[in-house]
Amino acid sequence: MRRTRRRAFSFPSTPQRVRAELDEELTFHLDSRIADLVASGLDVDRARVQALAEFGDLRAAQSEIGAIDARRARAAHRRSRLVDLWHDARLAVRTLRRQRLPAVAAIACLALGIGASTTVFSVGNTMLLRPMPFPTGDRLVSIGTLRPGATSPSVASLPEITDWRSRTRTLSEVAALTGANFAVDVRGEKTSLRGARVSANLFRTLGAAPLMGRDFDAAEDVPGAAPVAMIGEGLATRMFGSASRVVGEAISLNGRAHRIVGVVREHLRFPDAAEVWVPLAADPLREGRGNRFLSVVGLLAPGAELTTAQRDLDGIAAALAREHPDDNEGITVQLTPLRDRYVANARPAFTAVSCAVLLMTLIAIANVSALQLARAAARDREITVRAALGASRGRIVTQLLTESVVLALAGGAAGVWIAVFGGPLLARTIARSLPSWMTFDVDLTVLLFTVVSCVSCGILFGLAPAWQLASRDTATALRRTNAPGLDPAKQRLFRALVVCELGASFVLLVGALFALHSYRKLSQIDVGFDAGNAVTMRVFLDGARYAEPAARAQFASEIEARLQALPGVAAAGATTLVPVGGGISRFGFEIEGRPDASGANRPNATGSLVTPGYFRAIGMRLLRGREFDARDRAGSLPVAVVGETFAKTFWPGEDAIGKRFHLGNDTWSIIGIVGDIKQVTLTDGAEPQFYRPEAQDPWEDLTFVVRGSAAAITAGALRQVVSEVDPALPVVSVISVEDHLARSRAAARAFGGLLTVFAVAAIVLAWIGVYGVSAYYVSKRTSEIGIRMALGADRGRVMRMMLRQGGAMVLGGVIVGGALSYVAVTQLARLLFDVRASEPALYLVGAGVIAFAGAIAIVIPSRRASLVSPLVALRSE
Amino acid sequence: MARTDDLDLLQGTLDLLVLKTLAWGPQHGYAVARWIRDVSGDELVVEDRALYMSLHRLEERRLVASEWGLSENNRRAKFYELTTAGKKALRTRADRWERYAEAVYRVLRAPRTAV
Repeated sequence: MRRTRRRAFSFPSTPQRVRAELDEELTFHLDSRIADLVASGLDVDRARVQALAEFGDLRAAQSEIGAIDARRARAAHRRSRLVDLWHDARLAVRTLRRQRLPAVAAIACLALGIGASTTVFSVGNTMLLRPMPFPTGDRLVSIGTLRPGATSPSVASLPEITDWRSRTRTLSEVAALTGANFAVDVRGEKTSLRGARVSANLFRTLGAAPLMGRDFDAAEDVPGAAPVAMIGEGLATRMFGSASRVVGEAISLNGRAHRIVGVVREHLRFPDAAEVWVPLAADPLREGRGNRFLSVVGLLAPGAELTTAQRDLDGIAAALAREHPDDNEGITVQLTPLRDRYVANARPAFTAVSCAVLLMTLIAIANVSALQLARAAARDREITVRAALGASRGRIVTQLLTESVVLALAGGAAGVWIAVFGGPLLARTIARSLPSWMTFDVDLTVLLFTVVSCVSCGILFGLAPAWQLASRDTATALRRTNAPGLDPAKQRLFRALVVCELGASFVLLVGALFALHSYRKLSQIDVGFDAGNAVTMRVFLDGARYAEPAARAQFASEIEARLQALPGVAAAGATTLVPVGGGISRFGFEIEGRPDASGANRPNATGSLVTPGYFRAIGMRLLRGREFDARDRAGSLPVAVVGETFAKTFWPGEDAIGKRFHLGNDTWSIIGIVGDIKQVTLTDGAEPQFYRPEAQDPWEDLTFVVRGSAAAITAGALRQVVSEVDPALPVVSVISVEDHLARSRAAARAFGGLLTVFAVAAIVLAWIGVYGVSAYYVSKRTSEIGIRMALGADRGRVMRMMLRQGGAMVLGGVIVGGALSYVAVTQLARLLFDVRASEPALYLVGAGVIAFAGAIAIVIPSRRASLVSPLVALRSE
Repeated sequence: MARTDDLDLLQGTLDLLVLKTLAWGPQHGYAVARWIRDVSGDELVVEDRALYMSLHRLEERRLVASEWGLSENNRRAKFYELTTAGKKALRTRADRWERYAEAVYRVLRAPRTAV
């Protein structure tokens, strides 16, 4: 049997051809059978009948087998398309390698744009889209109390929480917690670890089953129960080698031995960065209804939604306000989804950064678009020859698009690198602290996003040039390649690109300027104390040896005296509440002679305890009266020093010195007035603050502040002083006050820095784009210039003409950009500290920079063009 | 014309026979039909429709490949031949069928023994 080599279903195959082949095959079979039957003696007609009968249902065969063949043909067709695509991709790579510079420029632009977008997406994905690591994640709510006029919910008191828990019908669990620091001995090294005191049901509420052991029983959550603790996986490994042998071991927390009952999985540490958990063990008798210090997490009951739970708790809050007007009048309750509580403060900043990145990416794409346009024009001839040889328009467009996508994928690959490093960086920037259980890594979703955006980018910037090229008819196209100049459509496109790029970079620049301006203002806030030349040292007086208040007071005054005795030290003191970020500590009290105010109108202020040397050590101004001294100690008259706002708020127009207020079991007399300080954040308004002598109510948690020359107040020297008094006491941390302040400004600084980076990148990109476009533009008009010069125009005139046209584009960019940036800044102003949208100086600076950059980008090629001799110009085409 | 005591073939068995037939070299569909009929001594009657279904399905599964060629009397015909995957499939299936047949045979011929 001779065979010719021709595959079935050769390309291109159509359904008709497939059907025809099947028919031919079946016909051959029937004819052969008939022939054989005839050869064995039958007559033709009987043979035909028999052959058909033997075959079976011919029509059914045709349709069934036809279906099989059609499927096969489609699969083969798909495979060949893939082969074509692969072929196109390889061709694209070869082409790009031949023109390295534009390709590299394009890839760099794209890497920047796609990298930044991917970074932003990965952060957003974690913040907003990915499920939280807690199994009950989306049903968890944060519950807080709201004073009238307050905007964000705050902490609650133990009796309140107990009432919520017993009365709610929409929450299946209500858990309470408060952060705490623990002095721990980790393999001989005394450190302080972050942790929390939690109610026994916290981990159950979160759905966070322990890695080993168990969580707390209700029996352990009472004061006086045997001390137990849970520790995190990481800490367990650090202390004991592995998490599996830890349950039952003892760990010393603040000097007291606790038995470890369970290990918490690494990624389920709640709240942020906690490593040690102990039962809350709060005493309901001691913790009054007005003493609010607990954070609350609730779990929605099955079938309950946020709105129904909110209404439920609104009712309970109203009932409590009626039953306990002193403490609860006017207090409402607010539920927020747990996720929101952590990301809410990051969301506005995230939005701003997303917009910035979007702008930058658009600039990048515009650049690459222009690049592709220019390159495509240069390949006119190649494309038209292809078209003439029979390539369909679709094929050509596909091939050009493949090239763009390959370019975009290369840029995207580089961009992913940027995202891997940029993700955590961005996260730290947009929020003071996002919890540690929000991890930012490049996971599958993010990679998918990258690939999708690469392909879309590629198609976006490849489409216009590809379509334009492929749609011209052959004859005119072949003729057109010899014609000088650019067609008007391209000119308009180029001009539009330049204006858009300049405008977009203007917006980014103005945004960055505003952010920096705001940061400068933030840095210049008067914090109320002197941050220079001072160091803080925090110690924690653990329970066993310092159970007596006298022991604590004795310790504080002894350390203070020794610190003051150090050479080079100007002043030293201690406080229980460090300014700017030390925490919140509010107290309600009654003013003597004004017992009526209650509930929400009850006076309250931020209070702390300080040693006599504190005010001088921290650099606060004494305005009137006197500071504390050795006379003010346990047993003597309870005295207080108050801030200016405290005095003005509660005794307007009078002298506050000598006035008294009731707090706790005592009545405190005001002996002095000091200036206000920023207590919680840098951007606080003036609020009432008061100070009492530490000796009259000694606490365990003290921060010493030491002022002196840099050589004198080293960490070593300070720790030495402590260990001389009590060698076993751990010193938690030694930080300079400057660093402390810098931390509170860190987010603003990082935000400004990030926007600046974007702005600079955008300007560079825009500059490259404008320069490239101008250069190309000019090169295309070389012969036109040559003609003009041959006809008598001098160099200056040529130059002026080019500048006029270029200048129009720059002006357009500045105007468009200016309008857009005004809109953008009005939104941005909400994020930034103390800026208004109308600060003309910033806009002018921005406009100046953009105009300058744009001008240079246009002048250089124009000048080069005007220097060309007319003869060369005329010959160049 | 079907004989009343003809053995009806199951689909999978037909595939096996087709693969085996093609093991001797490329054939066109009619030759495969003829060969099966001859070798089985006319015992196995294969409905031609089923045969061609089998051939096309085997091709879809890439166990055979087809080419157009010229038959012994110079007519255009579609020839099928085994692919490498097809050869392996033939070995596996033939092996399985033989084991199956032998097991059935053992049960049928076994004497009556206590269970």
